[in-house]
Amino acid sequence: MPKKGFKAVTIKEKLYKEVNEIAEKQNRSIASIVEEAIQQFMLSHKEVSSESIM
Amino acid sequence: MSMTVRKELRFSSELAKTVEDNAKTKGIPESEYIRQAVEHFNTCKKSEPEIPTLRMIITKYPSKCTNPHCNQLIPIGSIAYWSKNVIICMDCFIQALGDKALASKYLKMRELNKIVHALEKEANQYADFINDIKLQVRFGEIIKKLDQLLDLNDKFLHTLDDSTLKELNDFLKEVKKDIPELKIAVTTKMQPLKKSVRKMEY
Repeated sequence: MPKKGFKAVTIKEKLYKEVNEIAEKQNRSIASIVEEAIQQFMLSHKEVSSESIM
Repeated sequence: MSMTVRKELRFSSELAKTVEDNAKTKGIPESEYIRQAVEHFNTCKKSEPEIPTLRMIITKYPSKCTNPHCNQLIPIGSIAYWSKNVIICMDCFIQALGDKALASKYLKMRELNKIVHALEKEANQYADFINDIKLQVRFGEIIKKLDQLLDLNDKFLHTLDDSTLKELNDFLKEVKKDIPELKIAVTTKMQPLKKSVRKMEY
């Protein structure tokens, strides 16, 4: 059961290992890597959609 | 039947909600959305060239400039630019900057610093020179007094007069006042003997 204010998302072990590798290389936590990845992904998605609208 | 092993990731509820919403709009499961995001993150990181950046530091330890053409010593407490295994002195950094205005200002500052040092040296030389002249004048005065003393002494020996004796006595007292000053002047001007000379003396 995750802590209050947090939510658990299940991912495949292969992806988990991949993220873990990146996190170890950058000396950061897995959660922070995934957070940044999602933020960047969202940002790029927004940019693409705004460009396509224009 | 094969079973895929799964792991749990914990996010803040806010981010989890965003992931859930975005995954829903895309019509894919949350885990797939995260996979795509990580993949995107990975490709973005790979495409970014790794540029070593230098940070301005104040040196804690003495070191040498890594520039092979410079190699100058960087003393403790100086401003330098540092990165892993690299330390660049200010001179090299300014040269590498290529900013003409900044570089010329820095060079001007260095030039002015050198002029200041040279002027300080010259001022010290003049001060020493003036002190020497003052000392010479003072020595001259004392020698003059000694001559006067000898004259008075001769006069007294010829006359054996009480008034001359009193005059001689007063004059001796006056000369006595100059002796401490003379002592200081002589000791400050005396150079310590070199080791080789001392050895020869022994």
